[in-house]
Amino acid sequence: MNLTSGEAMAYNVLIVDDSPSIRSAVKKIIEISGFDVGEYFEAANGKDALSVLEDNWADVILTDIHMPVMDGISFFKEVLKDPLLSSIPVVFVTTEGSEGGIEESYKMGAKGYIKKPFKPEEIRKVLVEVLGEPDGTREDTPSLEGSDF
Amino acid sequence: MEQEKTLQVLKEVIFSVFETMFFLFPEAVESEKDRPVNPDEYFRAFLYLNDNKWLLILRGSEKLADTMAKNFLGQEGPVDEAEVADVFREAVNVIAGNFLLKLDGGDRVSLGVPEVEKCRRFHREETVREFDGDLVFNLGGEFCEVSIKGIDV
Repeated sequence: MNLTSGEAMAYNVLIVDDSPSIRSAVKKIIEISGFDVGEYFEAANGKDALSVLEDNWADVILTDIHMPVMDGISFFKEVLKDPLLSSIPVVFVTTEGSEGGIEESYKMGAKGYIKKPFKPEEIRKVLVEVLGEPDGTREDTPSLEGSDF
Repeated sequence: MEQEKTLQVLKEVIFSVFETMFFLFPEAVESEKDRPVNPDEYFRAFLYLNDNKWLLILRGSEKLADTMAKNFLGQEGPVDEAEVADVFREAVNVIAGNFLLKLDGGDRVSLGVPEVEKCRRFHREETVREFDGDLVFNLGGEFCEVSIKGIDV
């Protein structure tokens, strides 16, 4: 496993969604939020995400729930079974927005829940809760205000 | 009354999703004169809900789908067709999720995996109703419609 998360406090992020455009939008939001990201990893479903995690370390996982092959809940259960991976904070980014579903996710150990359609501020807020405030020293960091996804 | 309520919920979700995701403001078509022309080429995205008992279909002109993709991805240049299709597919997914949430809290009704395809209009005559949406929208002259099958509307 390639453990690169300790280098200069850069975070590795794994984005799991069957929609490439959603993965692209989430990545863009993280980039403009000022977080120092080491590497972005992407996967189209839970099974592919587990393969990614076999060879790479992620400091946070953002995952959809409704995906073919392996859904986000099954993926999360697999992550929780692994003593090493279970320490990675998992955030759901999904159209599933029922109170029951949200409650269930938190009971399982999810660190955040973002409902689609989301605003960039919502993703940033959850990532700040999970990873802490970005250093904000990047001069090229644009404002999130007025952007929706 | 129930039918009206269901369609009203769907209409409000369409307004909200198009505004939030795509910065677009659909106008509900109430009369024939406001109806945009039927598109020659269009995207059709659909998914099954409620254990395959309901089917939600979203149709939108090719130009509208392209605008949605550009706005969503924040891209000024051309967006390739695969990305356009993916964004349109995600639109029906988000519409369905939010529709179910508003309809019954989202706890009872299951959501399927959405699919998308690019279609070419079959009938050339404007009078032939190739499109049979429960709700029709005008987005700056571009055609969009939503159908919900299997549910009493």
